[in-house]
Amino acid sequence: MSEIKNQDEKAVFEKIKEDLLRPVKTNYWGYNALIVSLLTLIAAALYAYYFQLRDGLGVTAMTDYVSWGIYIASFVFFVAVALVGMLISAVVGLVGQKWITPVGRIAEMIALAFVMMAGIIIVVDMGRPDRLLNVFLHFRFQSPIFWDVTVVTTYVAISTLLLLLPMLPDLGIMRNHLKGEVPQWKWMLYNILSLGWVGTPKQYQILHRTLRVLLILIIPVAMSIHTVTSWLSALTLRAGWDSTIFGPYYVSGAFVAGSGAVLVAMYFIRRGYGLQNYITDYHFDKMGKLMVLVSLVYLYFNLNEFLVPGYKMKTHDAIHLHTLFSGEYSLMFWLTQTFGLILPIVLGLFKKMRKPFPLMLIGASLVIGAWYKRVIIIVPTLIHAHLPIQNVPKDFTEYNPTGMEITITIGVIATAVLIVAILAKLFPVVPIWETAHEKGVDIEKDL
Amino acid sequence: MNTILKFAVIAVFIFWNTNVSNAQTDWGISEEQKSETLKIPFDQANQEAGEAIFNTQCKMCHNEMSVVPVNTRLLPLSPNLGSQEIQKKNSDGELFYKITLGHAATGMPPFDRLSEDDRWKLVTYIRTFYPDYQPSTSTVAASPATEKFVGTIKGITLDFDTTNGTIKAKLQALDEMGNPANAKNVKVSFYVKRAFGDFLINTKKTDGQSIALEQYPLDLPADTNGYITVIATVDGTSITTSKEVKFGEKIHYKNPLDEPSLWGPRDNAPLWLKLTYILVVLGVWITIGWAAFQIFRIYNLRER
Ligand code: HEC
Repeated sequence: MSEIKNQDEKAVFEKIKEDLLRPVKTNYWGYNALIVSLLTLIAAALYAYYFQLRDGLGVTAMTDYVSWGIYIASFVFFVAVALVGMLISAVVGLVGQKWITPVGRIAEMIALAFVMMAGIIIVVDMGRPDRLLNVFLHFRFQSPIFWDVTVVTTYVAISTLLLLLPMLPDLGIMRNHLKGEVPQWKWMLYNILSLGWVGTPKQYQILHRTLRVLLILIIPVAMSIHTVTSWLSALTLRAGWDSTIFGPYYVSGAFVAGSGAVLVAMYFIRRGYGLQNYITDYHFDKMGKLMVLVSLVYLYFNLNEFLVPGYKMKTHDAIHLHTLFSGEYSLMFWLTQTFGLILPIVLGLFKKMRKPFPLMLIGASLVIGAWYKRVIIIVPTLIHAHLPIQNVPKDFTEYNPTGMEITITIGVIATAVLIVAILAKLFPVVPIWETAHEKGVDIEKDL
Repeated sequence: MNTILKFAVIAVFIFWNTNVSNAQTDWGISEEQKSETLKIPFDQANQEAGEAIFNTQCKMCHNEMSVVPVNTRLLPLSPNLGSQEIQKKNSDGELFYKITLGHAATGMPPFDRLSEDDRWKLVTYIRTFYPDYQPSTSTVAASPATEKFVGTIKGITLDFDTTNGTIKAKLQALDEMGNPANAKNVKVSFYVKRAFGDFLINTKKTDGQSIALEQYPLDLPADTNGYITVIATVDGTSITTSKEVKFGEKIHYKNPLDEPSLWGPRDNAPLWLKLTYILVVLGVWITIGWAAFQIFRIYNLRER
């Protein structure tokens, strides 16, 4: 690093620009393979969805009792992961942490992609998606579902702005330097999106102020999106959901899932694009520590969520807890709690483990655990109805997702990954201007 | 040794306390009151009058009377007063004062609002379920016992007078020879239909014209349209009839969904909720709009 410092500003900037724009210009076979496999998964999901549309939700394993299956569990999962945008850019950023520069945009891309899929999977869960508009035409102010629709939409809007706005200077650079180096349509896209950014002090001033307001605004909005999502369950009088801490429980769980996703994305982007000089071990170490911190908070809420009803063992709570701890769902529960919470915390405490590769594995474990945790939150509660389950087919008393359901769910997850992949290829994942700025380069001259 | 003694004393004290002077079992009736005996004749008229009061004042809790050796109903919830156990345990005075004073601790209400005569009538009625009872008063009525109608009851018609709430039940009867006859001294029970069964108003005997008369309470709650269904049944037969009449106090049913509430339809969303929602959403979206406008400002500063 010190050798870079000794060169003159121009050379430093050229190097940064070259490194960070390379992914935009280069064709990677690994990337193409990823896109193709994602598209295959999505095609399979669309095919399965065709059947679901034709034959109705009967093709899923959902029944009168378990009316929320892995679709809604995935919905909660998507919203959870999407919260990471707010965690990294707003919370950590606003307290003045500088290390988030190369991570923030990745988080923002993940946030946008996942919150969009949160909206999509709700439509997938609808038996009559053609009636979607009714949610808006015949809404009730009292319905948490309506609140949820509102906050998800709002979060999409703010996330889009938070992705686009800090990218304006980069888009300006790309417009100026990539003409002829990328296909014409791509350049046109950069040209339009750059919004005529020239980097005058006035433009910077407007940009910084707007960003500041949005970064503050996104905190309550993100908190409410996941709190409202938790209320979809918590406002119902059912064992396992009837909890006063469901809001913070979900929000803290979301941070865990989100940091996991960011760790995985950081690792593959760094490897694939050769950005070792920009996303360094230092950044992984910091992210690892953040991951441990949020996981500890989540562990604390887990303790409350299970110990408090577990001590009192009210009839229905007792049935629910037995199902989780020693019954039908115990294997899933304990695996999830171990790999999705305990192990990451313990491992994350060791410096040796806070290296890129181990952290990627931990991150993957967190993300997978987070998905299963949502299933555990949603499904077992529904299996234990308040009234005795009578005069229904035997399989109504359990829930085993069908192949169709799983295919569709995987397809939607693949779409989220695809969006992240496309965004991360179309735009520089590490902000050029901020990186240059941190290295003492005044890029205004360049524009 | 001393300590053991102390503990023993305390134990005995507690034991005695919980068993003997327990508020749960103490009705607060003095020995003098207990020793009182029946004040009115133990005759049919009084017993029947007692039954009528029992049916309207006590039955909803104590249920049908039946002669059983021990109490078969859950105690102390409204015991079966026909239980021989209870009959044996209680003196006339005790029954009388239990009815008069009630027992607040367990839910037996005091009935001092009934006249003393009515309360004794209740005692006579309760005692008819006690074969071993030795009445202290005469068992023979001053007036000769009423004769029983022999023959068959064929039907019953109702005539309701809505201005003063009297209902007339006229019986159609045949005598032993099969000729139309007047059914005298036949018991007719009057009910009003309620949500979960027929509520007994009273039991009356027919007069010489085969007519039983009953006065319905004027404040009887009616349905939402202001109607009640009156029912009359000839006791001991399956002959019954009913009639819907506009009478009593119309129920004004207040649908909780008509009020602003969190569970109601959307038109009844509470104002505070609407305001909160609209203000918060407006605030956030105005800010987003402002941010979008800043983009426009940035765009305006481009190189032309
Ligand atoms: C609100 C319900 C209720 C009504 C109405 C009611 N009772 Fe009771 N009654 C009770 C309960 C409960 C007990 C048991 C109290 C106890 O054992 O402490 C009881 C006990 C009694 C006893 C004492 C039984 C015993 O174990 O010695 C008598 C006698 C009695 N009721 C008579 C009547 C009569 C007569 C009426 C009507 C005038 C009447 N009750 C109306 C609830 C009711």
